[in-house]
Amino acid sequence: MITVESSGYFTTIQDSGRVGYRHLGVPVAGPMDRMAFDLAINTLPFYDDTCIFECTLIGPRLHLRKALRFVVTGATTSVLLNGVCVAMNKVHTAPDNSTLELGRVQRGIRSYLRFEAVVDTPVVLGSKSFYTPVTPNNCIQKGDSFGVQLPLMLPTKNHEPITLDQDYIDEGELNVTPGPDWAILSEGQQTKLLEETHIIEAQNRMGYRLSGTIQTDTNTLLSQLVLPGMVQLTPGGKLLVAMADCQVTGGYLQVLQLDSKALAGLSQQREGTTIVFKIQPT
Amino acid sequence: MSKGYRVIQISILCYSIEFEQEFTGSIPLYKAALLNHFPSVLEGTNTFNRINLLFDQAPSYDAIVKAIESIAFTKASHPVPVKIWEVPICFDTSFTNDLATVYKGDDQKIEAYRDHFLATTFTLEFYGFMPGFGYLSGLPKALHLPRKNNPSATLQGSVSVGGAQVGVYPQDSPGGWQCLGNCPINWINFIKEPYVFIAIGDKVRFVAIDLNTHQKIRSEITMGQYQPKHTLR
Repeated sequence: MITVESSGYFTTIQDSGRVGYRHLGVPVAGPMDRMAFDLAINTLPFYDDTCIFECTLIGPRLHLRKALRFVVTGATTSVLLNGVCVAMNKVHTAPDNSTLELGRVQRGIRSYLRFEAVVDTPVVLGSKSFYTPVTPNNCIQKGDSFGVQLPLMLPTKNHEPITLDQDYIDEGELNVTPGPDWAILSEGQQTKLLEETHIIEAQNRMGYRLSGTIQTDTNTLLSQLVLPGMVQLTPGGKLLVAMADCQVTGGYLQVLQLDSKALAGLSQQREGTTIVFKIQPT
Repeated sequence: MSKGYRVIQISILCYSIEFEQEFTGSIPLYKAALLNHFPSVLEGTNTFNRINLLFDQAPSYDAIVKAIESIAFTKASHPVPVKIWEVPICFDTSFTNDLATVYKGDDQKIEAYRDHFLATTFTLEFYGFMPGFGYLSGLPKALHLPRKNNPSATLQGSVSVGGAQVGVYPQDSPGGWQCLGNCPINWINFIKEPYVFIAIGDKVRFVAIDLNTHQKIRSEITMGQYQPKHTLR
């Protein structure tokens, strides 16, 4: 049993996402930083479940009734196991009746806590990823308890320690390819979009809003498919980057598409940070 | 397939086929044929004028074009009878006053708008925006309404119009569309299949109900006793 003693700023449970339900209007969800998520999964590989705690800015304090192995990846943060600081990106064993606490992030904003256990939370439309109203809650709350089951199928041999170059976490240059509406922009607008620096004004699991100065008249567009990593230009000139919980359709100009590494990196950047786009030939 | 479409690469794992005209009603057939042809598609979705294919491992652009050319679409006859759903709408002003704002309180114009709306048959084109938000086409030009300048709090069940589009809000949300009335039915459930009762391509007609009937249907839904009604065409 995992009991939440303190929820942290905004902590959700995510697995690899709700694939196959976009046709019902249901977002994919899943981890914001898929690189840190994959690192955690590959560091503690078992095949029953990809469930993970995604911790934003300030991590939770959890009570673990039974011994559990765990790893923390993603944004750099202090990890206190029964008051003792332990390293990130390494597997640790918490003994019975442990307290595990993730502190305030230092580099990046989203940390990933993976237990070697199946975490008991409802599977809705094939996924445990929190997203209201599909799942009852959008984040964990103080007092929540989650049953855990040890995995049935552990890998037969131990994996080599995995390392991940952490530089993507504060990479200010985001690799993009042209989006479906790129050609609607004039050459001057295209150049401007790529030369300007953009400030992150607001962000959550649905999207990142960036500053911008390009004015267009896009009121007449039909709603089209929106994918995570899509950079959309609003009539007011703001840029909206679709993230894990993005609406599945939208009517803004779809000007650029982040590659998967840039998408993971952006999800680690906080409000006030500036970024630039670097276009890759398709 | 004859010309009149273009293939757009949306991302490395996603292609869209955009049709020149909006093939109202035919898109589900086209989509089924394409999904059949590409077993490696993870998800197939559509909007008013595009079919979107999301791949696990994407074929090349040329392979997509070639495959589409080779598919023989049978457009002429529609083998499956289309369902026409009777969806209740309550115009009680306790839900919304948007039409009164649009028509500056002119009751005759509001009445005429509602009558024309109730006489219209819509087509469910796709779900998007939020889980279970169905985009309906078929709104006559005279009934198009401008979006609100600033989004406002919109109630669950709001039957609303944004430009030429019609949709019903499955949950409370900020929204920029004009609300006409309230629909007591849940358009989506997350518990059991079918998750939505109105399939893509089905027809929808709205039927006016009073506030008592709205409350009665809500309580029937809570008790699990309500069945949405439809006829076949």
